[in-house]
Amino acid sequence: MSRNGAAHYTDADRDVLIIGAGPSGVTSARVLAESGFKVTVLEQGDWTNLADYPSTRPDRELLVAGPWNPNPNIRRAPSDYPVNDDESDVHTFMYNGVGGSSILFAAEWPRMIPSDFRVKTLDGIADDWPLTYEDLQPYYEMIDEMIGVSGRGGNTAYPPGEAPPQPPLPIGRIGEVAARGMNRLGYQWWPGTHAILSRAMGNRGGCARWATCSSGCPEGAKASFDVAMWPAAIAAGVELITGARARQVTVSDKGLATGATWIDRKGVERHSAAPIVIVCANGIGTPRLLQLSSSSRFPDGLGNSSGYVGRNLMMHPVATVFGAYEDELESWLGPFGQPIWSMQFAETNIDRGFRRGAKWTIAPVPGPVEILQRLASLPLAERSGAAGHRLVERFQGKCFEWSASVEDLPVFDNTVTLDPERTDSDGIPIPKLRYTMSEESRRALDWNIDRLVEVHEASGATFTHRVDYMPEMGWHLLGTARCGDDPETSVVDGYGRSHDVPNLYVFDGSVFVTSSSVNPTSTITAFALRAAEHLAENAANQRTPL
Amino acid sequence: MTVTVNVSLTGRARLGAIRLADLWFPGSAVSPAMTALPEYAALLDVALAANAELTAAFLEIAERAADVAELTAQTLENWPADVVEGAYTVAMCAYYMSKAVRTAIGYPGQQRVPAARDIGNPALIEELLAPVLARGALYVATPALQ
Repeated sequence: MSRNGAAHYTDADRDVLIIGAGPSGVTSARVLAESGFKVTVLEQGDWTNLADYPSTRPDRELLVAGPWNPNPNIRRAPSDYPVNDDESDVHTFMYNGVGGSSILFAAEWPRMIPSDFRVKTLDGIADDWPLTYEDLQPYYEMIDEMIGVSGRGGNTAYPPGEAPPQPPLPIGRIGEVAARGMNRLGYQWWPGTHAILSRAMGNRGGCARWATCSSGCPEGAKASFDVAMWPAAIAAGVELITGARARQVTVSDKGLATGATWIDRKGVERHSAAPIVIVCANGIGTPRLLQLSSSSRFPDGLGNSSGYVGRNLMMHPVATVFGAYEDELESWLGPFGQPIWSMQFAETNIDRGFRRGAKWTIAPVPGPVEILQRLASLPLAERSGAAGHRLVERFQGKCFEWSASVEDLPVFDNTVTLDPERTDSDGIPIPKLRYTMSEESRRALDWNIDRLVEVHEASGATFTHRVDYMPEMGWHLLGTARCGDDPETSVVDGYGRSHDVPNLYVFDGSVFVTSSSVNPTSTITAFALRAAEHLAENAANQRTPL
Repeated sequence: MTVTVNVSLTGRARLGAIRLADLWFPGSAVSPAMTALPEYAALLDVALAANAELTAAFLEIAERAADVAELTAQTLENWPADVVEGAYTVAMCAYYMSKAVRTAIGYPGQQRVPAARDIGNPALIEELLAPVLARGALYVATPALQ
């Protein structure tokens, strides 16, 4: 355990306790601290030193396959807890540390589209959110300014007003080739919108096109929230305690949250009290903690009178097609995530055989190891020896991939529960997933695969190959403490406040009602920003136990 | 978070590693053979130090490779596939760390290319975007919240 920054609050003077130092945790912490609240954040992980990232190392791929793997069951760092995914079609990715999973995200920064908030109204399935795109729009803009988002404004997939503050990153030759194919088919596309600086800002460098975003940005250009938000939060007076694993949110006899019990790295149990508790531990960690916080008053888990805590787990299934070309495309150049992207197929067209849609992106395939990994479904004899040499010599620098991220609709029986047998290194029950990809999602994947092949061919690809990343694709952990107006069918309201425990909040991806098809972090942080602002403005009416 | 794995290859494993290298990366008209690389042993040491789980797989397969009379692709098909894949990953990463190999295949490696110095061709991007802009907005407007 270590304290960070000058602030040090006691149980008597602390106003807010936040669990989790990832994007939603630090964003809300900063807003509240700048509004005068004394905020403490508990984080089970540590700071990550930019110099430790494998991104510039020659053995990067081997490190990413092990100690830097996004799957905590493979990485097994002291800050990690295992996830029982034996009964899940998809394995979860996350990073436990200051900045959370943004340390390893690709920094694609799309907003949800307006219809994502109205799925029940428009498509007759799932539920509507208790807020609209228009409600979030000013907060999307605010977060873009805070962390430095780059892109080209005016994206035709969005209502007017979407205008990133920094100019876009280069789309590269792969972007040009992909764009020509999209134009031939009459499909919408757009230069990438990234949580990556295209120009230096403060002590963060501009993008240097390493294309290793997913193993940590060595320039600090990527807006991992340790470098993009935490310095301002600490300057605003936030106290951060690392190496602190929350094991229970505690409650008073009146049913109000009183703080949290946590365990330091030496195994010593501690307690931090606060009149307001905000849980920002991601779509797996948050339902785990709420279920760990059961008591005689809350026998099914804290804030779970609806029975929706840990239900409706959503993760984005991904379909990918590798394409190779005759021309040199410099496909080792970044950014790694979405040099160009498309929302052509994001809206429902029931003639396709499924509801809702997909976001498309291209990605470079930087080097020979990545090429051979993309072709791993071939028999080893066909990708090693003379055959392996031929593949690499033909494709190196001349390939990229198109991916479709499919909207994953909520299924009540896709769950996060507490494992009855297995525990983490502190003896705390680990989360157990039950997740079956729906038939509708599978149909959507198959439909998109066929279209991705077509667009590669329209761009001039001479070889295409479906890449099956399953089950290693669980980046986006959503829906397990969803928001809503009805306490019977939701856990928190549209500002993240628990229906059952009025001084308990959830601000992370757990609150998602539906998953959209886009990467969620911009929406998670816009939600947290709006919710924290609302909390600050209404603090005078806040019920507290103290 | 990076843990260095201390590995010393036994004589048997060293022999098996050479056999695997000759099978998997024999060289071509373009690419040098793995075992012909002057830095072969050093690259393998770097790879073996990076990832304990894959290193264990490599050592297991290398020792088995040393014990067979002849090592072929068919031989490997009868061994545990996931362990063979782990061993192949180590050898592949070691081989493609070589600057000589990268030069031969035209791969500069991941490197700094500041975006601010390479803004691409904005005029070309606008030209490419013209038909997208001409088609107009794509999103479905939603009814106001009740």
